[in-house]
Amino acid sequence: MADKQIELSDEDALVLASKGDKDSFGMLYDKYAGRIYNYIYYRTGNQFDAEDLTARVFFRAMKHITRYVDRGIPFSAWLYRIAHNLVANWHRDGARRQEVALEDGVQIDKGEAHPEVAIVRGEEDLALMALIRNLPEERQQLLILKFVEHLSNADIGEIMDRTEGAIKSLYHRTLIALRDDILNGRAKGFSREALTRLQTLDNETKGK
Amino acid sequence: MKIRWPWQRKKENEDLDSVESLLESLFTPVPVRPAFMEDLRQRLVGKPGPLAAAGRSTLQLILMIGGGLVGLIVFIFAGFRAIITLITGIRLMGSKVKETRTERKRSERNDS
Repeated sequence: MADKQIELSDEDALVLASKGDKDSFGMLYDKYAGRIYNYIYYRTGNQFDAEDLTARVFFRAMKHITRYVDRGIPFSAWLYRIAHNLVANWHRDGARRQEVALEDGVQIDKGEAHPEVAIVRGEEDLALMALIRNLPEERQQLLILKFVEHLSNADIGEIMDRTEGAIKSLYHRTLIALRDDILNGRAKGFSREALTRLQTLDNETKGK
Repeated sequence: MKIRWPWQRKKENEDLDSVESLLESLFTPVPVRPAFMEDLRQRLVGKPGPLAAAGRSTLQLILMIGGGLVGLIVFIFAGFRAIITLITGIRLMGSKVKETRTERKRSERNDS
């Protein structure tokens, strides 16, 4: 059974899954569950909601997969769109959103040798995450798809229903907005060291 | 329109590269709880995933090999003990036979 699953392409698995083959849907689940979870985790900021929404994404996908017609978009893009809609609904529920602790959403421990370095790094991450959370929804989505999922502009365009050029442009504007926010000190808690590091990071990289 | 000189553009690009570096270090993939993944899979498909199946068969294999090894060690140990007991028994019997013979000879000599 496992061999059969490995041999199947996404398209074949989709065709079989749409006919009710649960093994094929299981194969698609194994392939995409982690990615969808990561996307939702960074959009919601905590593990519990990420798990809940990931489950909802796949239940919804399974429910509608029989009606899934090849609309010219990859299956992954379809899943991301479901995830995006569910996260958008989740964000609309303002009360629940306020309960989310930002600290829960960022992994502070990134393997720094010294605890102080880890703490400073963690504070920087929290401040940067706060800035990102203040960005418009589409920009947050773009950053997560680019940096967590490592998708190309073309793939992101398929998910967000935009052209590759539009994504490139949006990305550039997002970077500029973030840079301005950081340099204008809008990132509360962003340490002076981090600001300096932002200025010298390139030089350090070149020095190495 | 604001004029941007080439050196200003260069600085701007460097700043944006720095922001990208910060974002790269911020967004690291997070691991999903295996128990959640497995539970959701069971709820969706009703079957354990390949990882869980592999995990279970590996556990079974480890238990089988471990049990086999323990059994083999016990068997070898018991075998050695049996051989040693047998050898010791034969030696004891041999020495007892010798003693009996010597005693008989002595008693025969005394009688004569």
